[in-house]
Amino acid sequence: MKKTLLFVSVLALGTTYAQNCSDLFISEYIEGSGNDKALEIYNPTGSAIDLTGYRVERFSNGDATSAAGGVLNLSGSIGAYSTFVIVNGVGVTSTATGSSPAASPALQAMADLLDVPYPAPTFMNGNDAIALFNGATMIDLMGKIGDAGMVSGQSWSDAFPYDGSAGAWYTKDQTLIRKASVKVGVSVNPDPFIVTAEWDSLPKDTWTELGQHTCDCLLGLNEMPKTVSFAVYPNPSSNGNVIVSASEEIEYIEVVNMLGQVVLTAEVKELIKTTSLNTSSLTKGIYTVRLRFTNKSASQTSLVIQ
Amino acid sequence: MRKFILSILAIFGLTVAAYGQSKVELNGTIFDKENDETVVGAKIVCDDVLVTKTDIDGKYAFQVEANKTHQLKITCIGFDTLVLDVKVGSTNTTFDAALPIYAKVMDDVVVKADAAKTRETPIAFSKLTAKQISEDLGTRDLPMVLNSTPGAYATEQGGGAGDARVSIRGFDQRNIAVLVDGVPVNDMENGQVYWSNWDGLGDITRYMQVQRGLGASKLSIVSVGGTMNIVTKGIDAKMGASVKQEVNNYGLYKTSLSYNTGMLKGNWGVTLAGARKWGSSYADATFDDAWSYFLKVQKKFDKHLFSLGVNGAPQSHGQRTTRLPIAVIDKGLAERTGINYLQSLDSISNVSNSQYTTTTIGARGIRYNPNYGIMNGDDFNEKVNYFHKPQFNLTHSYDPNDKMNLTTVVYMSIGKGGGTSMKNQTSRDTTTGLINMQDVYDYNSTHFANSYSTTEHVSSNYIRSANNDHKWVGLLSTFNYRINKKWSAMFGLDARYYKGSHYQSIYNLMGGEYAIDNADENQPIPTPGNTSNSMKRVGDKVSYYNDAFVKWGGVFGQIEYKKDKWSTFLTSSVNETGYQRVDYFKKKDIVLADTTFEQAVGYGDTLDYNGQKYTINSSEARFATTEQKWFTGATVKGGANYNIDKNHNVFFNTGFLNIAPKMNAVFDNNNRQFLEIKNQKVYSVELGYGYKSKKFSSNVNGYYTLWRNKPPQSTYTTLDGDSYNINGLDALHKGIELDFIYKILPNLDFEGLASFGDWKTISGSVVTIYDQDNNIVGQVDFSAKDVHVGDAAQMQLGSSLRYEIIEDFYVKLRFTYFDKNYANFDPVGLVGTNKDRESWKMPSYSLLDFNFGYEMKFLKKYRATLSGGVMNILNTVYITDAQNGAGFDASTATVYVGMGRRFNVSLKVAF
Repeated sequence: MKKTLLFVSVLALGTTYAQNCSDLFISEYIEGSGNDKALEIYNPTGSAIDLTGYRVERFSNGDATSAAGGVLNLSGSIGAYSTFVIVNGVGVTSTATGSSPAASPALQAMADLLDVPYPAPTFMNGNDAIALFNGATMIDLMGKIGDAGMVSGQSWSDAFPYDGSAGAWYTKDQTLIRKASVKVGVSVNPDPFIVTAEWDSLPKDTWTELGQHTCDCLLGLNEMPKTVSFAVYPNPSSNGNVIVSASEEIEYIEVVNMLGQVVLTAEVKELIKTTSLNTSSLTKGIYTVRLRFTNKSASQTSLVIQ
Repeated sequence: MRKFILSILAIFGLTVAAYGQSKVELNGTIFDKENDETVVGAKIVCDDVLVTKTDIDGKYAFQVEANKTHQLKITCIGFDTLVLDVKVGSTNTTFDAALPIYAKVMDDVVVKADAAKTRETPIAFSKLTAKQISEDLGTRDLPMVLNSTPGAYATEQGGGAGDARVSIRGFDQRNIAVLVDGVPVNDMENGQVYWSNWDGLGDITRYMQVQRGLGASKLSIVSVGGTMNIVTKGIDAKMGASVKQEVNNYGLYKTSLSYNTGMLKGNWGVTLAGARKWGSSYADATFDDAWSYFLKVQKKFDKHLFSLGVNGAPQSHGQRTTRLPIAVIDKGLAERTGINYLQSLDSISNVSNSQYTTTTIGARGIRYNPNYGIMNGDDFNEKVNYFHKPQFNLTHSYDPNDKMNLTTVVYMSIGKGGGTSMKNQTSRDTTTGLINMQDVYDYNSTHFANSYSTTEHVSSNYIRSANNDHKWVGLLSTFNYRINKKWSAMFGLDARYYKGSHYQSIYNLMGGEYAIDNADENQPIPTPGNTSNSMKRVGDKVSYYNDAFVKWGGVFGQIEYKKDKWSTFLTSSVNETGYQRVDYFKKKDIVLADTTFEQAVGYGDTLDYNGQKYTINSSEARFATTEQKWFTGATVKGGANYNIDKNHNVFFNTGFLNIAPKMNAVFDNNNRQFLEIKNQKVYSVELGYGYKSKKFSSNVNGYYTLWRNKPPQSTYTTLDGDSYNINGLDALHKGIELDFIYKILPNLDFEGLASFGDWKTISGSVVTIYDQDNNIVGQVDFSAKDVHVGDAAQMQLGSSLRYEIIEDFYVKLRFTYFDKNYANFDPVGLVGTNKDRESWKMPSYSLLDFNFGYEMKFLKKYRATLSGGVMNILNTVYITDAQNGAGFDASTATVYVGMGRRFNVSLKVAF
């Protein structure tokens, strides 16, 4: 039976840990108004991955199985360092059996794949664990499968016991972004699930980050020796302009805020080692400046805007 | 109080001439002394030689010797035996007699006041006697006998004991008033009737009268479809007892006992009855484990009668509550309804929450129950209904003289119980189609939630019970006054107080030792090392806990006028209903002198107001309580019957109901008031014609009922979470009903019935929803014009043939046909491209049932009755109930099918 296999695989996974930046993981979770719900999957490898054999399952309300939550088998492929967006597929508001509103067409337009009818993963409502499987192997998990606290709890939260009974709700009416430092999915069911460990929260109905993801796998911060030296100045900066200067030719610059959102990007067309960056759109705060060089190495540093 | 006397209504017989030994005819009519109805089938023995039985009109006739006194002995089940001397002259003599019912001391006037009389009460009704019920019912639920009355549609739904439901003229149970001994039993919050609460009722019923149509009850009860009056047995005149054992072929057993003392010294009487029902119903895992008891004690003082009645039926039974796609049930049925069988199975098995079967395994059969699994080697049904609702009635009847009567019933019922279900839906073993209960058990018994406990196993799925306890007290008082021969009047009072407690509780932890629940917002929030308040054990309340308080006060009155061939009435009532809801799991209110903060503080919260701080422990804090909301309703109804001659009569009635909303349309689960609360209004006209003769009698009637503002089936909420009612759905129910009895031979009866309904919703509109501040918060654009009403067959045909082969041995064959049965749906959900769209129409079906009974006497005073039957002789596979699906067609509908061929047999010994 499929379900028994699933149990076995979940248990067996406790002993096998995947390599960093070697397989897909969930990079964004949108639990918005009505059926405006979406999931983003990220490919942290340098090659495209055929999605055949991958599937997303929802374990609703603390369930140990996805029978009630639903399964979506993925298809298509996902490019290197690219995202794949799944959006709720409800197209017409139905009031016949309880109300199930149509998902926003604008959100659906951002999808690489629309989800299947109910029950399906993108009917999550805050207390459902979402798992990504590659064949029999669970390669990522947001939430805790069989979390008894979710049977009547509505959302995971940021304070003990992390099941919504205390602290701020994180997984209901939120957009969650996987932290850039996450390079491999969760393959062992956590206990407890502490959402803040790997996820940052954005306000409800934020879709601006959907379809792109920042991950340290691309920058290879930890993997690659920091051979390239560079400087950003003035730092702190207050005049709306900073100079970025490096020992290698710069290909791409991005500025990330504290929430992990990419707030500014610049593609450098010429093969130059020094360029200026207009930071006038940035509000006061601490940012991270990431650079990718033409030799595919990367580096980052922090920048304070005053 | 009636006296135990023979009442001779008329004796004609003048000696005109003497003809020696010549024979003349002695004839007459036998009446039921209780309600002047004729008694059919009473046995009359003349001079211990001649034997006959009364016909359909209660008439009998003998050829007897003229100018002689003859002795008549009249016996009939349910009545006292009368022995009378009749003096016959030289011409034909008519001698009528009224039989006193066994329960001669009983019959509170409230009950009788609501009983309709043939050729007098201008409404359509059917009466089922205890005899008919015991002949036809078998081991089924009481409402199932109603399929032999025109306009009714009863189904067993999933087939669990007590899970039957009935509709009349297309109006569901919530719109039918059900009275037991004159006391209303519909749920005070939503109007529902749960037949499992009344499991023993079929055994203690003396008769059941079904009055069809608008507000047929004279009480202040508002019913649209009709009224079911169930009258229980009273004290018999003589001591008697009986034992009955029933069994059917799928293993349901029932043992019933009854005993009555007869009239004891000092005008006392006691009736006792009890039953034990156990075994299994037709579908898999629908076990039944039920008891029932009934006690009535009566005492008469001069002009006063006191009666104390108690009845109850503690029961627990397995249910089948999930309707299934047709292809899962039966291949033939799927193909007959135009479904692509394999394609349908394939799509079903590919949806994770509906994996009932696979294309290789195929249909599961009509007994398949998707609500159970195997746990630790035993069948384990997640859907168990258990309830015990003892009802106590104390009746006082006072007859100061033969013109006046005052009857008062004080009643109380205390219900406790609920229905169980898995907290979460879980996976299914596709080989067997059963729920993987064992997996849940194994998971629970091996998993922890480290934040709460690292030593006790936690249940992430369990069986919870949705409890629905209630306490109910009521008073019903009527005063009857017969002003003169033509005029009589009745006034009454109907007051009720009801408290319903609703909560979920843990019923079975399925392998774990506790479950986690933080739904109670006043419960301490777990902190490291202190989590015990959130750890719930069996019996603990989880998810929700609230009380509903309903207060009901009504007054009613009736004036009747009878003259010659006319009988007319005018009845009216006004009622006031008050609702209030208290929620114990929501944050508490802070009640201050100048203002009230609703749901302001939960555990750990502080409210700062005018420099004062308030918490849940402040004296100003109270559980979240809504305001008391009052609604007024009213009824007016009038009618007239005209007896054209001794065979023909016509009647007419018309009425208007203004129905207050039910509790579940006033306050929502967040303890907030619904938006857009409005009354329903119902208008009705009915015409009828009756024919009665010695061999044939028949009734035909037509009705026209307009129902404005019919409540929708679903609850709707705005994006802000406000619940609202959608007003503006109108329905028009019109139709013709016909029934007849043809007495072909003295021992051969042919009965028939037909009902042709045309029940449709007729409105559609853009309904705008406003909040308390008159802001638009929602809009619903639905259209349900000319769409057939669902969930009840609109066409019905039936007939039965009863043949008494030899005395005391009968066989009966019954045929039933239903058509124009549309799947249940919410008309307000017909929006967008589904506007004015008909729901799926189920295929028609016909059934054949057979019953027999043989009664023999032995050891002089004992009677043994062997009876039995076969339901659904042809083993027809048919759909009784359906829920409309997304495609408005057979393949997306989910259904209950009727039960297959069933045998039952019973033996009763009585003296």
